[in-house]
Amino acid sequence: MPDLLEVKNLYTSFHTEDGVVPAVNGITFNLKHGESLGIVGESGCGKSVACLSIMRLIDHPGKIKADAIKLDGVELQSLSEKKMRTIRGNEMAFIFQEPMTSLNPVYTIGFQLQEAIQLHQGLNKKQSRTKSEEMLKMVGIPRAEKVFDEYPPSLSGGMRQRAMIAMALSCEPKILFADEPTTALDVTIQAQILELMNDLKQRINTSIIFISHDLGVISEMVDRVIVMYCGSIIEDADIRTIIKNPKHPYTFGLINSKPRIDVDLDKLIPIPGSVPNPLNIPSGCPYQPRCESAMDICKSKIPGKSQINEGHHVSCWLFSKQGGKIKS
Amino acid sequence: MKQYIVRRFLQMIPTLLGTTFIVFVIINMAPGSPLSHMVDPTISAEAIERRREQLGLDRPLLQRYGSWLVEAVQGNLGYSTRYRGRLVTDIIQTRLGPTIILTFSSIIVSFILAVPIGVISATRQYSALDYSVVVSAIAGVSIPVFFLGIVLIYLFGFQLGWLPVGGMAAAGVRHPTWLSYAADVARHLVLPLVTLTAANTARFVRFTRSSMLEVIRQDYVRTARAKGLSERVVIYRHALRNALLPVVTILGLSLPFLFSGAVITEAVFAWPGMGTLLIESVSLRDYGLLMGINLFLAVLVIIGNLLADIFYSVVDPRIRYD
Repeated sequence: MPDLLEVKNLYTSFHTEDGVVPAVNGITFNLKHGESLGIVGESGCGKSVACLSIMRLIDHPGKIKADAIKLDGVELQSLSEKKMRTIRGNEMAFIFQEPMTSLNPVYTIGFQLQEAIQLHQGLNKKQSRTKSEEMLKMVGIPRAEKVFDEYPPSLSGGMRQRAMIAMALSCEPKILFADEPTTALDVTIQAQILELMNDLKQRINTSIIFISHDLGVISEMVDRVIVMYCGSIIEDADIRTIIKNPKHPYTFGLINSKPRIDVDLDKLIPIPGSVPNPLNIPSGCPYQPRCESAMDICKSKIPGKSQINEGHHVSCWLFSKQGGKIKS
Repeated sequence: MKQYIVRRFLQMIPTLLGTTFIVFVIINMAPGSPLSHMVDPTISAEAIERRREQLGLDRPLLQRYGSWLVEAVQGNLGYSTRYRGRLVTDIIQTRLGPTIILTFSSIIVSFILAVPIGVISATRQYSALDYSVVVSAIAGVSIPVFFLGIVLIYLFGFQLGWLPVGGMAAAGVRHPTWLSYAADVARHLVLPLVTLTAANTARFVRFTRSSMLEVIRQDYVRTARAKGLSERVVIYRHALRNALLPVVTILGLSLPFLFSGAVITEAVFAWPGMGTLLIESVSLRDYGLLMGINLFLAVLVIIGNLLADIFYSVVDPRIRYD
């Protein structure tokens, strides 16, 4: 049985007036049935664009190129736009970061839920209403029958995100992309939404690709993590390994810059510098200017992927078999 | 909602008092008076003075405004001096129809044209089509109505002789049926309508396009695409309804502009509407008629705004008046 999702050498670039912005730079990963995968990285590292590219939701002037984007063994790139629409919202669904702006303010919650259900499941108005109300109840919205007829502006952010989740899950997708679904919410609501997603994942057996910059949130949600930097995957491993035994200096930095309750730190250690301008990515390893362990070779050559253990890979000269010399 | 409308109507009162008073003062400060067009210039100064007294024009300004106001609230807008004592309300009534035909058919036609053009232009931003729409819209906004009108008269009326260039119906022709009269009016309507519509369409296209450009970048449009909806549904159902909100507001607020555009168009094509009447009454210092038209326009503008606000609350659930 093929993996649920197979992505091979995905490139997404935006051809702007200032030049070509390589947002996603040849990423390869697989997602197994029922697996939850986390994608971690700073803002602008290409994690959202990668997921939108898989659903072919990149607007002009973006261009998507890949050796393979296969869903259940079917190559999505060969599908017509019309065929692709039967997959969007049906087999793959998306939850966006901003619940306040992701729902159309001039249509009722119910209408927006029914739309997808009618489109993909061929239910009539009455049936889709029943189904929508069921979904709203399932995501824990009280008085679902009433909320059905309400407009998004009368709901709180948490409620709107629940409605978005209900909408995304209404057609029982095989893959759910969750793009920082809790970033815009306050902490207590965040926990509720995460719990809800975990619960629903089991119930409808959906695989989740969870995008976040927050390793704490990721660790509650996923089995495996890929870490992205400047459009490339720099490390991937299961969640325990990433937290306990990160290899790439960047992953290390991400973990160290987060406050922990179990360790008494005097201060947080931020990663120096900021994400490079995508129009002007440094030569060699893109992380090299910010890396404390940078060596000469890092400046000239991009490191390949090295295997640390079964299922743990890292792209860094420190761990490359061809090796550079570690600076003393 | 009902309460809101009542409140808005009550707010009309100070607005109307203000506009009528300002216009009354300005027109009285302007040189000349109705008398200069009423009487033989060779007549003696005494006779003119006597007429002035008869008409009450010698009384102080405030007193005259007061008596106009007292009569106006009772529905009496006085007499026209130019039309030799015909009632102002009667004159306005006969001129109202042609203006409504011209203005409203222009608004409807330009809206029907502008919305799809604006949407298509926005969804293909930076394409050759978009550029040509933008350029022609700027041209349409920039060309003065009277100039375009004269060009059209020259081309289609004078050179080609296809269409009548003035008036609302052929003079001295008896129409056997109602239908043939309507056809005649329609022929006369073509050139003024094209003239007025060109400018209106250009304005609406610009509003629709920029509003649409903003909306298609919104998150909920991406959500709609992510649901698997077709591009047509995404644009016309999810984006357009949001994009039209500001367009409708501008439409309501620009009613006075639409009307003033019609004034010039009417004058160019001798269309027997309120516009021609307004220009006449200003140049002949026909105080009574001028005040009547002014009052009518002010009411029209206020009602236009109110309608836009009510429409807004119907299409945008975020806006509720209660």
